[in-house]
Amino acid sequence: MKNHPAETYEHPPSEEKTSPDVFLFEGRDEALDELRLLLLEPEQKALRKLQERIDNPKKRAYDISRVLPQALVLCSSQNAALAKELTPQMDKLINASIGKNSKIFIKKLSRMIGPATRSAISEKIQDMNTALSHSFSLRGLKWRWEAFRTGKTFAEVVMLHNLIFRVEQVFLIHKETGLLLQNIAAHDVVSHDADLVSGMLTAIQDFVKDSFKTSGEDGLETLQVGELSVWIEEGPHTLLAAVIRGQASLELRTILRDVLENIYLEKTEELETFQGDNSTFEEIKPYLEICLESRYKSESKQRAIYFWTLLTMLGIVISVWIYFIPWRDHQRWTQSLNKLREQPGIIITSTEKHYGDYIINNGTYIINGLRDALAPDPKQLLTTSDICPENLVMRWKPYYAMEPEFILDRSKQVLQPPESIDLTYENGALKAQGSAPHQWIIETRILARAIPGVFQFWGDQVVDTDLKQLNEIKQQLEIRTFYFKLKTTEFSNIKANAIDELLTDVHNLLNLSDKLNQKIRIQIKGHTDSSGTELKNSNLSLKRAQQIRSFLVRKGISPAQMAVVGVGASEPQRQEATDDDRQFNRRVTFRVISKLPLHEK
Amino acid sequence: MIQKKICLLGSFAVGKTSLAKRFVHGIYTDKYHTTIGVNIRKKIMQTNDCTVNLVIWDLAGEDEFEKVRLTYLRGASGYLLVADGTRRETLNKAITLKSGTEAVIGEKPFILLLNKVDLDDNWEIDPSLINDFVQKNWLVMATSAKTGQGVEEAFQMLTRKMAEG
Repeated sequence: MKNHPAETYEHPPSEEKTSPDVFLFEGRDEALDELRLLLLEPEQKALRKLQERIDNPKKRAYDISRVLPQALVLCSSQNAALAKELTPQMDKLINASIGKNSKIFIKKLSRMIGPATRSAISEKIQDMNTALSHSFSLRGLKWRWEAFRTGKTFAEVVMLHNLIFRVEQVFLIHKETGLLLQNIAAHDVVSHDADLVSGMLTAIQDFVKDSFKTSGEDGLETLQVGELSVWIEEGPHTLLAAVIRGQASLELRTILRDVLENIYLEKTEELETFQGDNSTFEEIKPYLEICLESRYKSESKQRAIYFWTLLTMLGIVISVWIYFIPWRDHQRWTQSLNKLREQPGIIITSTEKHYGDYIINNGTYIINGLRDALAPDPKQLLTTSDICPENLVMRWKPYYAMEPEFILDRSKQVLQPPESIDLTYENGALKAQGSAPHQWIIETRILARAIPGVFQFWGDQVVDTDLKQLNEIKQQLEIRTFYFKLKTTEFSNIKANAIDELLTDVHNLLNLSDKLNQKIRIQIKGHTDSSGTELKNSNLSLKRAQQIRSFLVRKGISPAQMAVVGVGASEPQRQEATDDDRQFNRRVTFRVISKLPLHEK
Repeated sequence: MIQKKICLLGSFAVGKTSLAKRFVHGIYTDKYHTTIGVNIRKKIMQTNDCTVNLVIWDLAGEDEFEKVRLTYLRGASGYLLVADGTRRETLNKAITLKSGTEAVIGEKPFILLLNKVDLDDNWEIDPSLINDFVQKNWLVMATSAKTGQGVEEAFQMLTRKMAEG
């Protein structure tokens, strides 16, 4: 008894007193036995009972079980020896148990994993909610709008966008009947009638198998409906269908398969004898919860940096666009205006500028002003500037520019001077130099004063080319001499074309005099030598002059423009010493007689 | 909850879908839409001692071009054989379908429904013929999806029979 470990702590010290009783039994005397029986019977009974409790393993186990919890508490509170002793034993036990039947552990663990996963997701949602509730990024606002529009919470929307995939619903279906054994859905997913989904999935599965005559267990494994896909895993009696949003990893297929196997192992009998009562499948819900898995994509910081860098650069570009473009535009506008202002013959009276948005239109410019007809075209002037002609409206009113170059140009335009004329303008006076036809000189005198800006005209220096030519012909004519033979009206030593040249001169002379409005007459004077009488000489000289006149009249010259006179030998060309001298005196000469002197009137 | 799969079988256009719709949704439309494959509906029925979730597989009607896909019958706890009372030949088809069904799912509770009983002017089924079926322990009921006559009762009856096993 002393060796019993429990005794060490539990036996009350009073029990030590029972030990002398043992010796009482050892006596052989019957009387003594009787006496002992009389005296000690109650104690003996108690002792026997105690012996029996110790000897009987069942009773002893019962006794120990009553004190064991207290003993363990006492033991662990005093030192760690017990835990140290028990740990290897426990490890062995667990290992042996898992080796023998892992299903029990899987079942228990899965019950814990399901809620743990949900709890983790829930925390993740909370984290995201807090993190993003203050986010005013463009995407954040977009998601807020989506949340408002769809009635989902902001966290749900964020989660949906960050998911790689999520298993939203899981159905466990009895394959033969198509009846739903159990189903589970993520907390925010609206689940439609699971019974019908279950039936229809079975029907589709049957249809596919039937239609394509697949072998054995081969059936439809995946259905794709927009963002959703349905993965179907088939077991001996069941179908496990998972509705997935996004792109699930193949690991999920393994998870589904394991879950299906575990369910089968746990519920083999119920599945094989299934008669429509699905209440027994309530227990396998934790397995299905394992399938409700979600995977999120993590936004890398690197991407965030790129995003903000891009955003900043975009901001700079927009700022430049907003501030630089109008500034550059204003510069161009000012430059263009200055260019116009510097141009003589153009006066800007007012300008208007309508700013544009610099995205669709660059604004409109309006210029009002005065423009001399001789000034260059303003549009041509601004072709080199960067202002778009379509955005520029110019309204010009005509005026006469008083700058000397404009007055000179205007004078040239009005007077159309010949090339031989040099026009200059100074202090209100227009001066012409050089030579010009008579008509131009006459007209210029009248027109010049009418030109705006010309207050005086100096044209006296201009040589009248017509008058000059008239004098030249006159001189040429007046040196022409026709010689005659002695006492006759017959020409002597006459040049072949002398008479024609005379006619040309006369014609030109008369034409020019007409042009110059000069009244002239050509005097044809006949001469003789001194031989013969004065009377005879006078007659002969007249005849000689008349002969020339007759010739000219025959050639169309009006007789009224010619006068003949015979001067006999009164105006000899040479002193008559020889016959040759006399020959030079038998002649006809010409003189041009003008009523006015032959110069400018 | 107890769930039971039942099937509606019969020739084309005998009124299987109309019966299912009348039973599940309480509606009837004149428009005829042929069923492609199968339609599945459900209704929770209260029998004397339990609640049954009735999953009704309304199979496409059989005609000369399309046989009933017997795989859809698997796991059914009972079925309704539907014939059109105004078309005698649909009754023969129902008899054929019954044997086909039994080959797949064995003997299960069933009811023969003679539908379109509202069209009594065109009725082609002789009462003596019905007697023959009754003699064979068949349950025969006259129904009308249009008026609703006998529909609820038929489904109730089948559910009871299935519950009895």
